[in-house]
Amino acid sequence: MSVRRVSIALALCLAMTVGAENARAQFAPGARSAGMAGAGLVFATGADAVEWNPANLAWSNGWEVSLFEFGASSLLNGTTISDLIDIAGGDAEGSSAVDRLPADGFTLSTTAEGFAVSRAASAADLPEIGAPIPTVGIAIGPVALRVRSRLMSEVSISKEIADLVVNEYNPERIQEYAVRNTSYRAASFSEITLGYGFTIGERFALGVGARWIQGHSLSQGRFFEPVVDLDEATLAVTAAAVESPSGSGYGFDAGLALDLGGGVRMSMSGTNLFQRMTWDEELVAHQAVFSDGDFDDADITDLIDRFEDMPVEAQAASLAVFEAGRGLFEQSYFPMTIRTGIGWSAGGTTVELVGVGVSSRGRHHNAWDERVSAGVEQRLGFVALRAGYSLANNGLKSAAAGLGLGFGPVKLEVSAGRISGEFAGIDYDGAHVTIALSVRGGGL
Amino acid sequence: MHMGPSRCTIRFSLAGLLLFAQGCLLQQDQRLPLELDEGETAARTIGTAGGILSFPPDFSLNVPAGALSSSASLTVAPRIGAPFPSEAGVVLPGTAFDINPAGLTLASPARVEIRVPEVLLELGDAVRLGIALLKPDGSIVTSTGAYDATSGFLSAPLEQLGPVAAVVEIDAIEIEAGLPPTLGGGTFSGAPSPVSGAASSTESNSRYGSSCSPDARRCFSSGLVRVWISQSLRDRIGDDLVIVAMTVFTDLDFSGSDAAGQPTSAVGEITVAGTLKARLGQTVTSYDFDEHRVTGSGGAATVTGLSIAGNQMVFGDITGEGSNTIEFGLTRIATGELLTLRIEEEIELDNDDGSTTTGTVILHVRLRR
Repeated sequence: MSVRRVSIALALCLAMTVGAENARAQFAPGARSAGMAGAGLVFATGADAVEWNPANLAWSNGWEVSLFEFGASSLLNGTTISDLIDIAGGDAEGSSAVDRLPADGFTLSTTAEGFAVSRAASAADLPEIGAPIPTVGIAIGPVALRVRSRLMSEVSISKEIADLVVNEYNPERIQEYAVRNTSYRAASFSEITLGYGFTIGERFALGVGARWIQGHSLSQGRFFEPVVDLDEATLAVTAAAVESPSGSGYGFDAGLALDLGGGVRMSMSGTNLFQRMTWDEELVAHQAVFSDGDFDDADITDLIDRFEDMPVEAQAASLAVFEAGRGLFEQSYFPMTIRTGIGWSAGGTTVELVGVGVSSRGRHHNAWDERVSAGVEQRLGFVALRAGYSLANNGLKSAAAGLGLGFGPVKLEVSAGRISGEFAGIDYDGAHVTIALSVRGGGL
Repeated sequence: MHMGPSRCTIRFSLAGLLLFAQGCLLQQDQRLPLELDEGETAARTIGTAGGILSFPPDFSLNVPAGALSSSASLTVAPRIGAPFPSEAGVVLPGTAFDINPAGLTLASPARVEIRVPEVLLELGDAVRLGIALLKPDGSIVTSTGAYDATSGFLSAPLEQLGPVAAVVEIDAIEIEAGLPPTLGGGTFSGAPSPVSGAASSTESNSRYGSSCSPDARRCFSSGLVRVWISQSLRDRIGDDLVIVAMTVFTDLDFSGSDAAGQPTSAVGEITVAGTLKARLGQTVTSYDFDEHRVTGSGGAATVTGLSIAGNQMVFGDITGEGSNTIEFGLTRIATGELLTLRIEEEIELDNDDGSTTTGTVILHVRLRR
């Protein structure tokens, strides 16, 4: 097969794997790939390879213990990071930021390492979301195990509620207040993935992966339109949420890698080629009523404490609870993800071009997955510099950079990136950061 | 092109394989364990501590503590077999439910919620929504409801169990544009009645009265009551307004005669109550008003002095909120005479700076002689 034909085939694969989905938060697994704006498939090694392409494990000779990895990403739809800061500040600039919001308000999507978030929530006296396992990993030769916990959430705020937060309740504007789509959804889970890679001949490798998923919490909630008391000039807002407190599932992955010689490698992998996820149907409901005074003087922990937990019984759930839970299980599983890429590595330089596509079924993913990413890595002694750029066909762009430091066998890697774009007249703005610490040896 | 049996078999086999893969490899959605199957009846025993009976996603009944004197087995199911009576108003499709045991009266009202998707409504219907209860004796009581247009929840209090349905009230009173015309006064033409005596015990040509209540269907469509609101109130609560659940009872008997032939005393009462419903953004809210005026200074109607100056009737003593003066107008009709009274209900509205603005609901109520 000529290089030209390989390139054309790869380009077709890339074109096919990029779909037009809504943009949500995302960070690529692994600090290396995050620093390359989502590239990193082709030459991922060690514990990273389990999630990117288990076939790469076939060419791993050393070992790695991934001690810690924290990644967080947020993506705003409908506003910008600076405007959101102004809105949270609640001052005059916040009022201008509210004016700039689209009629539907804004959505904040986040993905974060679950264990660290759980500990932080506990320290802040906020509700914990299950008991996620720390994100760690181990790789020995062609076998690797990755444990990863994630909390994915999406919060939508109506323009009117943002206005209420910034400008406080004003009885003269009682006609303008509307909750509309103000809602949230969150999923917390830990994945334990075992990968194995093996070679067929000198230039071809195959890999397989098996994943166990422990769901910690799947919840969604919403606010309902205010009940206005014209006589007292007050309003009361009901909020309800429904939670499935646990779940379990599994998935299978496969990958292949082809060494074309001259440092050029092709790679293709499928994650969750077959998967199942089942959430606990013993649901718990949370319901509370807030008055206009609560918005004037909000203490988030006090407001959260107002929610009473109650089991959800069939034929005994209020319409608010049912409405809050509507669609809770809809596609609450993991989609099949196909990644293809080509890369070149020689000396201390690595270049990768990667395309990622996500199947339309399964909502537990980040839509920035659907993209083409180009990344470069340059190793200079104990330092590795990384940079990348990605483009999704919905107009979302991301630029990222990363730094890897090697202190003997100890590797510290950090990466950060910015996501931005405009799609259908709506602004997107976001950022991601990843920090990882590992110990490696044996040439890995 | 001819296709051989073996190729056809292969194609069907491949299609079957694809269907198998679709069915087995792709995960199907879990079902929320709250939904009922079609034709099912929701049933639950609710005790004195209260509880919720629901038929998701379209109905729920929240029975408060103390509403039931003992445990009762309650059921609810969509009303399919028999239509809900149309006298209740326009019954919205798919919103009628049978709550049993029908006729069970609650010590304190339960809260019933029915899903009414906004797509079922025409422009202006949201403020007319109510929940009608069909009583065992065949009468219908409609409760004004609060409505959340985003989620489509219509809720209202319910004092008795039985068939219920979401209805668009057809006897709602529109709020008229602008401000009301000034009533023109006029000269009473009826024969004078005795100076003393309660209105209820006296029949005379100077006795004017009217009555209408939610039980008496569609009596407001004749124009018995016309309503306006002040601009300050309109600025605050918008233009999507109606008055529902209106009750009017007026009875005034005029007596005596001054030099101009106008009565010099009166006895009787004026009761005007109703619910002003307004759409505020995505929600419909309501304001209950109740104007009750009785001649004299006691609780019961007694004769009081009356003087008439232009279009103003000035009562010597009249209890209830407001001044002693009522604007009026007289209109001759073929079968008698109409007396129109201007009744005002003031609503205090808080402002952001702590001050208040007064909004006024102005009613022209017609009494007939």
